[in-house]
Amino acid sequence: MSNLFDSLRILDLTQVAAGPYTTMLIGYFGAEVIKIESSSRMDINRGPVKPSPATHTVYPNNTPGKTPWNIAAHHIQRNVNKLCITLDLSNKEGKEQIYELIKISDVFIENFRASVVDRLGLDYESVKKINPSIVYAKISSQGNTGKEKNYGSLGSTLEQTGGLASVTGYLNEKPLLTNETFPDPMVGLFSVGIILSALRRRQMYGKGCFIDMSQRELTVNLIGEHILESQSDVKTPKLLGNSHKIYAPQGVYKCKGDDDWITISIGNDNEWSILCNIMNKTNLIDKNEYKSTFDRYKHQKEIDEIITDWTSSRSKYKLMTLLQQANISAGVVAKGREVIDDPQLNSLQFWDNVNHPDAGKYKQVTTPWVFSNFTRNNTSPAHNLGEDNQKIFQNILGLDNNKYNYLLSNNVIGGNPL
Amino acid sequence: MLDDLRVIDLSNHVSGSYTSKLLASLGAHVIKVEKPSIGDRSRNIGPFLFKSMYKESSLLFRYLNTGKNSITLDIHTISGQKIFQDLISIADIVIDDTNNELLESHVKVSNPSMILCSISDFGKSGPYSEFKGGDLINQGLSGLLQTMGLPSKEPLKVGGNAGEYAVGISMFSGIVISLFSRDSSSLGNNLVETSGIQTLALAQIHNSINSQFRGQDNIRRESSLLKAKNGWVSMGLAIGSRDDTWQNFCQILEMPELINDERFLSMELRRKNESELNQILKEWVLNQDKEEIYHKLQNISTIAGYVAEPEDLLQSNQLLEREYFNNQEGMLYPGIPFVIDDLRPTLDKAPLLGENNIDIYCNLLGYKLSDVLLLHQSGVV
Repeated sequence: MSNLFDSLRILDLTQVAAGPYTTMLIGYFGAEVIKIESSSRMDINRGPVKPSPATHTVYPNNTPGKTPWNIAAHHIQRNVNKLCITLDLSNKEGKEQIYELIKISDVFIENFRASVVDRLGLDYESVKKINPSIVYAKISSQGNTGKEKNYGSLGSTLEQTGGLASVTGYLNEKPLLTNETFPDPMVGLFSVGIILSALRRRQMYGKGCFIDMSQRELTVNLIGEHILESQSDVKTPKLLGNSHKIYAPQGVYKCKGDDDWITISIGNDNEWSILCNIMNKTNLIDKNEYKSTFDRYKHQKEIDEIITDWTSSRSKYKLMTLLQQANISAGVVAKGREVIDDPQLNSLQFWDNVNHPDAGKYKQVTTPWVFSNFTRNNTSPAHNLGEDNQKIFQNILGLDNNKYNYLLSNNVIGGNPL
Repeated sequence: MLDDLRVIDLSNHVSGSYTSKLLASLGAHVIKVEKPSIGDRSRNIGPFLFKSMYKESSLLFRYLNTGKNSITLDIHTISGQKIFQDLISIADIVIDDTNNELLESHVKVSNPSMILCSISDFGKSGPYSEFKGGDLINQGLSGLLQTMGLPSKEPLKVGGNAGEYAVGISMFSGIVISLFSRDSSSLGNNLVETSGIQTLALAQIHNSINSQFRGQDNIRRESSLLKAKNGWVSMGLAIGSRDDTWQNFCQILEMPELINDERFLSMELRRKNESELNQILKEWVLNQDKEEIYHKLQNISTIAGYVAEPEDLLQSNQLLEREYFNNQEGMLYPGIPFVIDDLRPTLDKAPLLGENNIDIYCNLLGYKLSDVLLLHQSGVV
């Protein structure tokens, strides 16, 4: 059990991916995360109220059920370790309640388009007046300033506008996206460190702050060397596929089995000769054209064909074992299910077995760390819309029954989507 | 925020160097410890500033190591180890991405409250812990590769060194978490580990969902990017737009007949019929400037994008207006990716190999200059 952040309360107004990842991760170490939605605007992850057959929202066993917004898989997966309340923030009485929550919270985090919080009266200046030492984290596509501050994006947009797509693609072909909205989890993971650093300073000096995080700017950070190269005299191609100038050959090779592949990466001449021996192609070891890494890089296309000849009739798992035993970097290209069953990730306790009351059993993504002094908490399954209203509004804020029921009947709070 | 901390950076890969760069951006004092005369591995890895590669011209090194000091030390010699223990005794954090086995015992002896950070491909225990990895291998085992690239071709890795930066980000946040444990207890033994396989498995937000809840593993799919006059764009009409977005878009297109086309009335339908929609848009897009499309479509509340090349980013009004880039010796470096209380931190240029030897050894650790020179002659420093 981790009680590292036992006394930490986070107001979480984020939705979709990046922000929810941040609060999920901090939640694994004991923070109380209060996720605020409204019954008229739920987290997009919860999908439509009445899904059509064409919906792209994912449900357990493809069955939306009676309350689809509570079992939508994307919501289930990233809103673990949180309390869920609903509050209509455009309503005056709703605002009063969030102001009360701000008074007793340590962190306020949101990822709306930049000017939404101004409209809601929840910008940093307003929030700071209520709680001067709050750590306010704003995660937005383009940052909180600049003419484009209200531009919106998803991870797939950021891959483009942050330049990641310009270095992702097959050798000398066209730019491609990751299909996994790579910048989103990066921003989510990064914000954990920034927010906690700000909290650490607050513990030491009592000072809160305003963190203005641009998702695009973090994405550009991931290609820094390419930004510099574009200003130098030497410009080399940016789309390299799976190849690498200092590991040659390096690539992804077809194996026996439906869409089965293996990665192989050769770091030096010695490893090359080991690979040639294993492939039973000892004649290649002394071949002049393949002598150095540079030579092999230059001739990678023909080398790839030779390797594929050898791998294509073999199983990817057997090849991985064989090559790793010979101290060669190689690994299977794991499919979704294989990653969940992967013995290494399971031995690192990366997946948690979760039994969600309505969505059933599944394996949950957790954290990428192992600490020697403490462990993360077990996953607390995602909550239903408004599930914790009573706990927060009555037990914590102390609303009496009259007031609570009044807010309920006026849809300021509520457990069902409007 | 972290300016009370001193970090010893032993890393030799993108991941660890990016971790300590992020710590430096929050004020931590980072001392990079490099092998005498050889230096950090990335000093010899491109891209390079000049055609004739020499080790002080690696742009990868320069980018990754802004805001740090560099000293040289051979920690595999006996006198080197003694100096290393002195260094450890005045530091708070040591970062290792080379699986240095000596480290743990040194730390135990010299500074039990030190946070020892280990970055590896697969973690320190478990069936793959002895396996040899690397960015491509890690992307494969974590499941990221299988879903990337085109269905007709082999799986494709995320480009550049992005997979390694990811691991660096992971370690950065892991360190800050463990600071809370260190600050509140005197137990010692503060080990924090992260790995390529864990970080990249976390970096997928659809794969584990689809394979478990939909019962289908993610597969590679055709690119949804459309070709514009000078590059690639996505229209962003199928998700996250407003009710009147479609109508406004048809007006920009000058194709009012599409406004009531039943195939495209809602975001859901536009997503379902995306390939038909793209077929119609193809010709229009082909004659437009990519950035003009981006701005036009963003202004009607879509999540449109354009593939920015590095050259485009250097001229992006938004990035320039926010003073994202940091000018060093005439080159624009991507800056620190956050602004705190309206201030964007900046970092000094990366150190030359051993640039801070005298400062660290003499002024900080109190060695005599003559001793440092002797150590230099014997190749320890």
